[in-house]
Amino acid sequence: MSTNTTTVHYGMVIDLDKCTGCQACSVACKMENNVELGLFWLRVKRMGPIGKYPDDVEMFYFPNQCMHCAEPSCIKVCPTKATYKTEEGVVLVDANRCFGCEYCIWACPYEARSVNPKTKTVEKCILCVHKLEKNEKPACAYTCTTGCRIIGDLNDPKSEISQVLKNNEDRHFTIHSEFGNEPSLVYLLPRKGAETLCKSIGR
Amino acid sequence: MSSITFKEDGGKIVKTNCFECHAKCGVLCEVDKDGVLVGVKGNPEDPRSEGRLCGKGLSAPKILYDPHRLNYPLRRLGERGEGKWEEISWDEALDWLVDRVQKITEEYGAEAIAYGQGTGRGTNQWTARSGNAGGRVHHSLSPGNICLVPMMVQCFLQYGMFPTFDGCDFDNADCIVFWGANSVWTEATYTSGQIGRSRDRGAKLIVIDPFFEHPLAAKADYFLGVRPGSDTYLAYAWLNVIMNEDLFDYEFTQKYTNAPMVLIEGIEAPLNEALIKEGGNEQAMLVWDKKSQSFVEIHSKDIDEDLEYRGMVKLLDGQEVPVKTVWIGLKERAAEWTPEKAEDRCWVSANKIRESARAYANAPAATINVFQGIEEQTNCKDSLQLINIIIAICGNLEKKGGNLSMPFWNQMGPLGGAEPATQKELRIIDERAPGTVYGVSNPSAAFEAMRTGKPYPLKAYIMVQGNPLSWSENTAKVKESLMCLDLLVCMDYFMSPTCELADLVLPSTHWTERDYLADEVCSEWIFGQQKAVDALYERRSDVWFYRTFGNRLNPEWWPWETDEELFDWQLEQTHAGITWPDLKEKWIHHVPQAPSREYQTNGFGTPSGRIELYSVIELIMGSKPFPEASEPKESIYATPDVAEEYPLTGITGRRYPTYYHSAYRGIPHLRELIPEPQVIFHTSIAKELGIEYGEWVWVESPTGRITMKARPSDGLDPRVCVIPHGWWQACPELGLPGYPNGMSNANTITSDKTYNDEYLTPGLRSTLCRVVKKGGE
Ligand code: SF4
Ligand code: SF4
Ligand code: SF4
Repeated sequence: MSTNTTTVHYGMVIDLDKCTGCQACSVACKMENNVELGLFWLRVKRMGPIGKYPDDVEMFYFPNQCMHCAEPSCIKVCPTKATYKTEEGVVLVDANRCFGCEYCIWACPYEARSVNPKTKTVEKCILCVHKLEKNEKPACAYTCTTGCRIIGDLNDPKSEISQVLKNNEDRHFTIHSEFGNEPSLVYLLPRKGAETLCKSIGR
Repeated sequence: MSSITFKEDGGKIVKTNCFECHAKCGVLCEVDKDGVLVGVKGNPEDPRSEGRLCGKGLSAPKILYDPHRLNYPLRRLGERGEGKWEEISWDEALDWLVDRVQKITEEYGAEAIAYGQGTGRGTNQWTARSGNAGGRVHHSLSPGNICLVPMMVQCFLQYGMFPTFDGCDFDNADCIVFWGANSVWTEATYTSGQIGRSRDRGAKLIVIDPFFEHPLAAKADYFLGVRPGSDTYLAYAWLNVIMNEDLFDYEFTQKYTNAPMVLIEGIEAPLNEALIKEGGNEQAMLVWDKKSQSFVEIHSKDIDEDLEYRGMVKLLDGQEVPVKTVWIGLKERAAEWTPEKAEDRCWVSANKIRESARAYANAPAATINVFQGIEEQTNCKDSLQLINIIIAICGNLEKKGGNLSMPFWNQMGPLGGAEPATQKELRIIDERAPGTVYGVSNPSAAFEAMRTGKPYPLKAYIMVQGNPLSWSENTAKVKESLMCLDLLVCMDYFMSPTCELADLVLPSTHWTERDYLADEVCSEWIFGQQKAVDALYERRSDVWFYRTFGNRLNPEWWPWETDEELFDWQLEQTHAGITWPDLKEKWIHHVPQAPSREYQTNGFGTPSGRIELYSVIELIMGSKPFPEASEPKESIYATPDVAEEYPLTGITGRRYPTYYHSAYRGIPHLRELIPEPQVIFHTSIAKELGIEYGEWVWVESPTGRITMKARPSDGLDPRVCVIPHGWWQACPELGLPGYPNGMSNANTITSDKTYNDEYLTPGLRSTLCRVVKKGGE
């Protein structure tokens, strides 16, 4: 997964063509990170069905979590520098510095963040950095029942993730690219059944 | 490699198998030095699931330690259902139970007792064994009629093996069909990872389902939004296309099916040798051999069977009768069901029927996965038989990428014990359905016997992991029935609605607390499903209970002194080729394959040694040997008068990926994902009735009414609605309510009036109903 160069850039690919909305990733995240009831670092949303049944309907499942942006808008607005990005491209929140102003929540285009009502600090997906450090996959990617999540080093052209991205160039799907956040989480479009729906995502 | 890895910090990792559902994914259980289960994740060494694990399996530690679990045997104090209990020891519980059972047996006979389950937790065979023990009927009161029995038995009758479930070779198929099956959610182990891979390499996908929210519908190359219960027409139309366009596998059909078998026209009974030859064998079925220009026995080798033989035959008694082959008989039937004609009935366009049939039949290897969308219908025998025929004539049996036999299903027979001699005499069925193929009592008729004492009294019901107040149709009647019992015993994880009515409630160990074998639904493998932690409180394993209790009552039937002895016997009976200690050590073991994998040499395990398109056994059993283009017994076409008031065809039993039937609504982090029961119907209906998303509505049928929250959707026909099942449990941690008295239980509205003639199956997936806005509330 990691390479011996110092410029690892962790990213994840989620192939929306494979995802079945089984929610295993969502549960895995909760179990692994002890996420509070009512909070979600990762949600799987059902998009659709919409259209005219039976031949003109679209639907897909959309797992939504922090995109670990290369240019994160959340960091820019954080007054205490609680939100920061590691050298390996993972965006994290230092709970000791966060005082819950929620600016980042508003700044994030991806609805990735929420406030923990108990600690009054902001939380979100941490890309299971503790796992990455041990060269293990994040819990969601490990358990994904369809194998549609690929984690790895975007800077290493030989990594599985780079290969998958290369082999599916026609299906890359960066959400809200207009914000210029350059997400490290790249979706692959469903091959079928979501042509117009995908265009509407996040709008 | 050992199945337990000890860690330096005193903890350990245990290889075992999940049992939050029947898929039994291989898992790694992490236990800390204090013996606490801290995590469960998938085991990449399971060749089926390859490390993947669903949300239920991941939640195992929460389910193990849930504060609402049953922990001690409880005996009823006060009135039935009053909720007053005394905690007692297992010794006392067993003494008391054995005594009660013996008294009831003395007074009313063994037949007054029923043993049962819901899904069971891998205990099907022990429920059956309890029902058979003593050689006299104790009723097996389980939902076999709605789960697996129809599809499994229909396969056995036609194929001599069962390849449409865990035998689907998704990984190698060029075309994959889900027909009334959502296995990527329900049997994720051997399905969901494989499908994506296969699609990456270009495999075609066909989804036949009334609901576009099937997770693969949008991705399918062909989505056939079939009317619930109309699969017979669709299947016949597929046959029509496949036969008329010559898309079938000629050689396989000629050599390995009974398509060339000769029938007497009119009565459509096999022409047997005794009819045409002095001293001939009446068991011998005949085919016309083009080589020798004569009738020869169907097992004969080196012949050139005529698929389309038709002619006149002079019988020994001098009569001349017209004969034709099974193939012609089938073709004539299929000829009636052009795609255009089927379109009217099944609501799938003729074009799509044609194209999808071609896609399936033209694929070099294709697999069809069938499940309860087909099964839970009053015409399930016919649709299952038709689908089996399609698979066979396209040459997709025992073929890489097709449908493969899986050994356990052929081996499980002896575990339940021999059928009691009194089986027929004591069976409880009535005019609603004869149950020609599935020889047990109709659950509904058995429940009635509890209330009425007719045809004879049924006084006791003992179940493991069974909650008929969720699984059985018309649950209000079931409740009345349970209230009439002298003895009701439930062994379970949680205090279910059925437990609440019991005399004795027994606490089950979670799968992480018990040793067992994982064999059924495990494809080509068997696993040592060993415990990860010691059993908590006074929880005991389901198998331990059946064995210990059985041993006290009928030691000749339950001779085993320990669970391990029983496991060894089970492994021996199923010819697994391994002993329990070795299996426990190894965790996974590959079991020998069924003889039909080499069918060219061994043939198939049927009377003709061939795949039976025309089912000789069903003819003998009093059913129809050919499939009919039958309509569900209750439907908008069969009972238009009912449909006038209840115009929607309701599908109950749609699954959630994070619940297993009625289980786990009480586990907070699962419940928060799907907090409430929602009935799904078309957006146009919502508009028409002025119903908003999230509003509580009534769902009504001639049988009863329930309340659920409205979820309008574009993803289904306006004439259909989807009613999920299993809602009873509360989740106090989230402040989310339970749903007492079946108020949101799908089976409150399902009918107990009509059943499948062969398998006694009610029409749970095509219940006529209506959605009603709540007035002024
Ligand atoms: S997705 Fe949102 S929270 Fe995550 S890095 Fe980007 S802007 Fe920040
Ligand atoms: S586990 Fe995988 S398939 Fe399931 S919802 Fe998450 S991303 Fe989708
Ligand atoms: S699919 Fe079934 S066996 Fe597998 S992890 Fe989920 S609940 Fe457990």
